[in-house]
Amino acid sequence: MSDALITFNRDGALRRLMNNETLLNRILEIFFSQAEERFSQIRQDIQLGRYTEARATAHGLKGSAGEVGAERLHRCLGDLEKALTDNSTQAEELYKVAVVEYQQFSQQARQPASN
Amino acid sequence: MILKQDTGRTLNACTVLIVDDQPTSRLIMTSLLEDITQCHAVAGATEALDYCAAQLPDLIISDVSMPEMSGRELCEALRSNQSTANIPVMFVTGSDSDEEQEKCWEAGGVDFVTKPINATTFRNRVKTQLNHKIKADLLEQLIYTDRLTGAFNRHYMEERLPFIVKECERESLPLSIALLDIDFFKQYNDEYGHLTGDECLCRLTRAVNDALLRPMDRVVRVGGEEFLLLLPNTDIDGAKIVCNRVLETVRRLHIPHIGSPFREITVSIGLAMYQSGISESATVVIAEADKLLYKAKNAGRNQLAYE
Repeated sequence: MSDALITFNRDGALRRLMNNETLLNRILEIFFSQAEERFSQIRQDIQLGRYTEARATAHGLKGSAGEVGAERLHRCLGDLEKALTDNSTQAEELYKVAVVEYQQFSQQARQPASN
Repeated sequence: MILKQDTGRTLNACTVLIVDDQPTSRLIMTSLLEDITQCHAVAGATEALDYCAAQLPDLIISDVSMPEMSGRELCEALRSNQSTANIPVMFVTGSDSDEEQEKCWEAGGVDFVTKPINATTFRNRVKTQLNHKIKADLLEQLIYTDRLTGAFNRHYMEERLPFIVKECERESLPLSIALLDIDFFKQYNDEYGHLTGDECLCRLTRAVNDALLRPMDRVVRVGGEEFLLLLPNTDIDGAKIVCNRVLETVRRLHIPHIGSPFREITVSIGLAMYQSGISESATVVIAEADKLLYKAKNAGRNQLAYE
């Protein structure tokens, strides 16, 4: 099941929000207004070895990603969060993967809904 | 059967406090509940504790992972304070691991939902918790209040007084205790009948309650026509002002009583103070108030006697 994750599961996100499209659009707006700053915060904290802080930011971002239907990003951030909890050297690599996922999500989600 | 009784409260009169550091989560939860109940959202546990110090919500929905203070720490802080101990806390968590679930229950949570939230599940879980809360409040009201007058009952006093005393001890604050008795009430009942006597008790209780002014003050009906006034954080000088206001409020009711030398319903009050670290026990202070009540009676009634 987890392998079936998609970049932007708009229908899933909408279903969870009782098909409230206005609400989903507002959440996306808030998400995009904060995501890039949070990513750079995570990068900075990883570089400075502040793993606890980086983990907390990744956790928050992961939650928001799940809410907007960014399934693959949600999973990537979950992996990053775990790596940061374990002080794993993989954190930097996972961060980069998450950034790529974010860019793909951003591209898809900012397109007008096609139906 | 009791639970089918109309509580007079509906879900949309309840208040839910949402605590989450993520603005998207706050927006989602508030939007999903706005047609069900009253919502207030805050971004952290400290704000939540401040909110609860001012007013008690019927349910708190809290994120688990938050900077500074976690949702579980918030729940423990609420449980350790008598006035907030009974607010149900539902957790919203990004993790549904066994360990996370255990921790949520251990902290005193009543339920948890996982993020991303499924609207239908979330709304139904919240409705269930609020319905429980409404019924629990009703039961507490039925258990702790005197059905005739609406004052707290003796059971309330026996259960809650130790906590009130403990809180005063912890804060090193005085607790004034007054015993109030209606003068010549037996004669009143003999003259006007028990139904009118009951009506008199109700009017008098309402008036005494109004005269207390602060929500933390309590009127407890401890006997037929005898009431205990609990005045936390009030020293003897403050309590004298309150008791004199009570005497005056009762006089102003002008309830006719031809069997009394005053020709109207009056009360006598004995006032004593529990001092933390000095007083032996609340029971001893109540006994002292009782003696002073008799002193007020023997001195002619319709007056206050204090230590």
